[in-house]
Amino acid sequence: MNSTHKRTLAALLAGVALTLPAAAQEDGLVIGHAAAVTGLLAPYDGPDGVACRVAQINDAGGILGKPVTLLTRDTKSDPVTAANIAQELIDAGADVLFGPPTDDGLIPMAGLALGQGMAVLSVGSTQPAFPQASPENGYLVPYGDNASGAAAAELAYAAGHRKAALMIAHDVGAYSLVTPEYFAQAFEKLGGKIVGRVAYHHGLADYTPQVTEISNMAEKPDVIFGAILVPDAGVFLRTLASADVNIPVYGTDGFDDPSLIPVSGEGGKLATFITHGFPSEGSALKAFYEDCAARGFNVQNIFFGLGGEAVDVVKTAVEAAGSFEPAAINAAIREIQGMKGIASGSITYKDQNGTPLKEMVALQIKDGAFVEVARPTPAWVPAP
Amino acid sequence: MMIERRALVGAVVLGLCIAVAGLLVWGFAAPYHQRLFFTFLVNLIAVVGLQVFMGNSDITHFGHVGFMGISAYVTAILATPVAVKRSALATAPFGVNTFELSPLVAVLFAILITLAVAFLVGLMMVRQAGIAATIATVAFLVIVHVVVMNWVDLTRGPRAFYGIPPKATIGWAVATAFGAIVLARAFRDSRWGLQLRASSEDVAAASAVGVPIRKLRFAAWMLSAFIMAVAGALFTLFVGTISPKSFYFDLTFLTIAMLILGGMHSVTGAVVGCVIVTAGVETMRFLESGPVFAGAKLPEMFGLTGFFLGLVIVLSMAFRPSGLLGSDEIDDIWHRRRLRKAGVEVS
Repeated sequence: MNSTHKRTLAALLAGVALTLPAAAQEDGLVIGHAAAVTGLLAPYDGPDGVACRVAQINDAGGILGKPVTLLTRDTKSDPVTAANIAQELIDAGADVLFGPPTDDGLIPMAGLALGQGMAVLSVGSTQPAFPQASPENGYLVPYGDNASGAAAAELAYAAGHRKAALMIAHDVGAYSLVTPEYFAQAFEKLGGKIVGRVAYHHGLADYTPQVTEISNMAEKPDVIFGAILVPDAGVFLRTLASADVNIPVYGTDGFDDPSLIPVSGEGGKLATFITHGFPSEGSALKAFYEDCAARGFNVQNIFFGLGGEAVDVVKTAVEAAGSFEPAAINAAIREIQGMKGIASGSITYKDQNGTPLKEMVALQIKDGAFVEVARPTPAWVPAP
Repeated sequence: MMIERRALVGAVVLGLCIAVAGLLVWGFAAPYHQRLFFTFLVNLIAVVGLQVFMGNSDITHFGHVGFMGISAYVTAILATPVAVKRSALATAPFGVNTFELSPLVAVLFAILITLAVAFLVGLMMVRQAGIAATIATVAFLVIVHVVVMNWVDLTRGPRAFYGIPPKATIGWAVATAFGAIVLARAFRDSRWGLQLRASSEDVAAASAVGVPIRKLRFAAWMLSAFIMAVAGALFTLFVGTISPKSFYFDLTFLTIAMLILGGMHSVTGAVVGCVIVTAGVETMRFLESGPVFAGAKLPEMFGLTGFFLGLVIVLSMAFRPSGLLGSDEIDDIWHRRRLRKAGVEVS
């Protein structure tokens, strides 16, 4: 073997050593996070929030007196990479897994973790399809879209609205397609009526056709519901106001971005939306944001808070179980009832089949800023 | 189809390299590395399938992943247990939620249906060349995606299709990859393959000497679709959960990057490109998550893998526009070496 060959072999062996998984961790909780750090889903995951909460807990003495270890890997928003990473994290000794925001990555992760009865929690997904497909060990940290749709329906009905038009889009996953139907089920159950469904696509620069369709409906709606994402939510509101079609618009967390205020302009006054939490004065979420900012973390949006909340769910479960055993943590999560979180005042997993029943926040825009108008928990939630 | 013995030996040696790697992974690797290797094999089969059409006809093909998608969804719809389908596909048409087929039979149906679609699309495809053909392949990919996204009753639309029995094993994947490599080489070095490659360099000259260009393009198109269909079925039976996103631009660009890096005119190039990109991406993924390396804690650098993929393409376009191997196959390299040793002048 000449020296070039020897060098090549050494480099190859070094490469193999490089990619071997980390050795099993010392005792204490190990959280493995297959996070969408980069890619299209990055705005809907909270790896920094998870990291900040873990740092806070470790500074305060850890969980059950042991430090928490966090292993974060980037899924690049790809479902196959997410599943591969789940196996890597399990091999590396994780006790619980956090997953990316979409069910195509989460369901195979839960399948791989099921062998050890290990829980998989999605930091950002609001789609109950995940826990439904993985009933033994799949959990959402946020509320489900069925619950937020129902909460919006209850608020709209309480505000005196009886005839709703729905905004339906097929192009951004199930969120904009299915959430309006949950709203419809809850609204009709209360006694309201759906008078029309209007199709749209995200990325439209002009919502005039949709606004015209709404204003020309045979039966005039007195409220509009849409699970629209920003910036489209803002463009839609602005178009309504500029066409003098001043019908209130109800939405969910797709509206929750500071850019909604400048983009919607005059139309901002029409919006009411349900979201996961709001950093109002004196709230746990505001304290969390301030402490994390002081630690050097960049607080981006509500998913940062949900990242912290995910760690708290596991912390509560581990303390109740008195153990770091994956299966014991999984069993303890199912028993959580009325837990106070960072973003939400009350979180219940007991008898909820993996999608927690949570206290939510309803926001409106007043004087160029978001203001909290209610903290609803829906009385009836449609089946996912 | 007569092919040279040397080409066949080259193909078998290349396939055996994959088989030996498969044996080592199966015997010694941790579960995580086994998954990684499986993903590599599926990508490899797809890249080889892409090479069959793109490498021989010289038409840039962006629609290959569409065939994977069709086959994957047909496999999923047929092989998923009725118990899952009853809730996940409650409103399915054609009564598909009332029966389930064994995975092998489902794969056979998936391949047949994919080939039927490829046949219809291929009739139109072979009449075009150059940019027009490439745009048509993109359009095909978009059509497949839109149908899968919107036929909610049959495919669950944008939601993940889950509960597919994960029956694929490394052994099956290795055997399939071996078969795909040999098939691709057999086509490339057959008379048809040679004629098609000649026509891609000079259409007028090739047709003047009687090369049936459309027929040969059609043959390459169908063979490519067949290999992609097998890759799609294997993928589905491996991950157990699929969504329309799995078969769209991300996978299209990844497989094209692999092929361009290795050299699209060569099956060996396809394999080499796939190996290098997979190994590179995995190393970058290790480095980006801030590991402790040689006693030092490296900083977190998420995004490194994307940067690496971009860099690889830019560098290979700048310095080796025809890929690392150009048009060379593994046996061409040996053959040239042997000639050089024998003192024969080779270019």
